[in-house]
Parts: sequence; structure tokens; C-alpha cells
Amino acid sequence: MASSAKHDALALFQSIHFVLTAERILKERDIQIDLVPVPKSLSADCGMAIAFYRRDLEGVCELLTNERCKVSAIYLRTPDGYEEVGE
Amino acid sequence: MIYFDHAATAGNRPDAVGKAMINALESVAANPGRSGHRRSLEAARIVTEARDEIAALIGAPDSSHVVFTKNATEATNLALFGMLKEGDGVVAGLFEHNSVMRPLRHLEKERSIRVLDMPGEARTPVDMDALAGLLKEAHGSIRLVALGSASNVTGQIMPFTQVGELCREAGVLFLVDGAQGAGILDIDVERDRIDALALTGHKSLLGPPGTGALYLRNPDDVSPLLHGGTGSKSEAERQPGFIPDKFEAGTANLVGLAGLTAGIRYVREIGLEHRRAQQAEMLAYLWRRLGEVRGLTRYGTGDPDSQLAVVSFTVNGWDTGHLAHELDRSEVCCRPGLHCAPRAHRTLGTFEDGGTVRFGLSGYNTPIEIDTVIDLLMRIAAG
Repeated sequence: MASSAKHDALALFQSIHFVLTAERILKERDIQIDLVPVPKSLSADCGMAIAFYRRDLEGVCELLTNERCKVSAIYLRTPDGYEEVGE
Repeated sequence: MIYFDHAATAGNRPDAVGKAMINALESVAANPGRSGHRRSLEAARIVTEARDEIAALIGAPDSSHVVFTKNATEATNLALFGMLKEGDGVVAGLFEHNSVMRPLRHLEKERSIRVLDMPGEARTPVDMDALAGLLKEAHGSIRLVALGSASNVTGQIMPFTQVGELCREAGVLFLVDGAQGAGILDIDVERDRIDALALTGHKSLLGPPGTGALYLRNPDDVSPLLHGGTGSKSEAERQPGFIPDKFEAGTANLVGLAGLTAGIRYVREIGLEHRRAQQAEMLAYLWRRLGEVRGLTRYGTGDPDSQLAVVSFTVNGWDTGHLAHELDRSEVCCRPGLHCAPRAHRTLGTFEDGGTVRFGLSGYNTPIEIDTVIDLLMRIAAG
């Protein structure tokens, strides 16, 4: 179930182009991230997601307003799995 | 050896292009956007960098609107097949390459589109007042105007900025074939109100053959040419509707795109203004010296403000193919014939005699090379 051993939040994107665009922007902001496979419990997509710490949620959510990133969903890890932010 | 065929394919490239390609082939060598392992991600970063580099060159605010093709021809095909619908009217420039004309002629039969000639003539390829009138009188029946950024036969620079403005005012889509001008001319998709811009990597962008791109302002209204694997939405048997994946089925040309990025970076570092000045200098000197050859006729304006360093000419009594072959025997590379642009040669009046000989110069050429070729032409023309 775990997408990344340490990170407890996850951002999903439309495609790898937007994952890598977001990766660059987040790294420029010194936000600690990891690129991980999209958990099958969230999407049947075989693509990649960005794992991050929930303490950085605000910074990552700013991406939602960034047209170039096309974030499709953001999730926080819970004891039972994932909970979508903003749902 | 003197290479005067840069208008067909760049004959020289910065070292960084080959180095980037070798690195992509030997050190990265993975499938971009598919497997998710570190090398696959590195490959995907190379592809994203190429997209970002193109977007920066053409002033596209969002690089996801840049989709990769194998050349400008695939890009114009994607634009025309993807945008045009049954019965649409299209105005086509008088110098258009077959990369635009052949898809249009095919669509005349397949979708009953109507192809209209751009109002104008050889020395004034776009009559702006007449075009404005044509678009106005069409009352919405014209859907698209297709215009090259510059002629591949005469190097004449087309007024794409002004045409873009007219198209936007008239609510007509504007396709620019940037194959010949991109990398030298300042083409800005926002300022020039371009809805679709076709690019090729192997000419003035100094990338390798097999690379190209299409910028699309409104990709939602465009159908893809290819359907297949994208590394996204793999659970679905239908093509994803989001860009850039919608238009990029199949494995990308990783090695080529690595080289293309290096080529465009060089172009941007040198600067378009500088490259344009190089072209102006070359054109002015070449045009003047060609004028000294007896029996030689030049086509184009000869004015660096309205022409790239691409010059077409004929020599009395010489078949263009034989003349180019004679030059090749003296190690001068150039291109004779119709240059895949019969429409341009009909406009110039050179179609019936088999076209012209074309010299396409770049910043890598020198005035000494021009002098050498002129001496050669003088000897050939004198018989």
C-alpha cells in the first residue's frame, strides 16, 4: 500500500510531463519529494506520482493553481489507505 | 567541400548536439515515461526538457501544448487532418511546400474542403487588403489560413505577424509552417496569434533529422493522427484526451530530442537577432556576387529585410540538375529542382523549366566560400 516509506502525501497528475514539470518546480522550492508509482488503490494508471510530506501540503496545493502542472488529485495517507484532499 | 544546402538540412551543428545524443543513447537509453525506474525517469526528463526548450523559443506559455513529431511534415499533417472538417475552406500561401499542399489536396477529396489561393504574387506573396476582404466576404466559410514562415525556394519571409492578426480578427484558424524560419526568425505564437505552428528540428534549430514538433493553441479541438501506448491511462483502450499524451502514441525519439534540446539551446544562446544578422550578411553578399555571373537569373527580393540567406537561380542554357551536378563535382553541395514546392515554382514562373538551383546558407558559411563558388559558376556559365 505504501507509496513511499517516509512520505505521507501524494500528488497525482494527468501524465508524466506534468509530474516532471511539478518535480522541477517543487525542487526549486526545496520541497522534499520522491517520484513513486501511482498506487493501484488510487488509480489503474501505470504512471508516476509525487510523494511528499503533509507538512508541505500548502506549497504543493499551490500547484493546483499552476496551469502547467495539471494536478489531478492530492491524497494524504491515513491508517486505512488514502484520503483525497479537497473532496 | 562547400555546403550550401542548409535549407534542406543543417550541415553543421554545435558539438553539444552530438554529445547530448550519445549521452542519451549510451548512458540513459531507456523508455521515457513508461517504466518508472531511474533511467526511464531520466529519459522522460530529456523529453520534457526538449518540450520546454521549444516552448521558450516560440513564446508558448505552456509547454504541454508542444507535441513531438518526426518532422514538420508530420506536424502539418497532424494540424490539417486534426483540425479540418467536411467542407471547410482553407487559404493556402502561394509558396507552400508539399508538406502543406499534399495533405490539403488529399483533404479536398476526402473531406470536400475548398482550397483557395492566397491573394498575392511572387514579389508580394500576401496582399493584405485582398486577404482581409476575402476573409470578410467568406462569412465564416473559411476555417483556416496556412502560411509558411519563409519560402524554402526563395527564402522570402512571409508576413505571418500581420496575417495572424487578420485571422484572429476574422475568427479564422492560423497554421504556420515554421520549417524554414524557426531558429532564425522571431516567431512568437502569442504575439503572432498562431493557432498551430509546425517545426522541424533538422534545419535552423540545429537538431538531428527525425525530430519535429507541433504547437497547438487549442488541442481539444484537434484529433490525433496516431493512437497507441502513451504510458498513461493504460487501463483504457481509447487514446487519452489530455495533452501531450493525446498526440504522442508510441515511444518518443529520445536520442533525437536530446540533440534537439542542445541545438535549440545553442540557437537561444547565440540569439535570433544575431542569427538573423548572419543571414542578412550572407544574403547581401551572395545576392550581389550572383548578379555578377553572366546569364544567371536570381529569384526573390535580395533584400535582407524580407529574405533569408536562401537564393534560387537559373543559368541560361543549363538544366538545374546538371548544373548542381557540375557544382558537386567541384565539391559544392546545393539543391536543384522543385524543392518539394511546385506551388512556389508556379508562382515564380520556374515550374515549366524544372525549377531552380538553390543555395541555402548558414552562419557556418563564409564570404570566401561564396567567392569560390562564384568563380566556379562563372567558369561553368562561360562554357
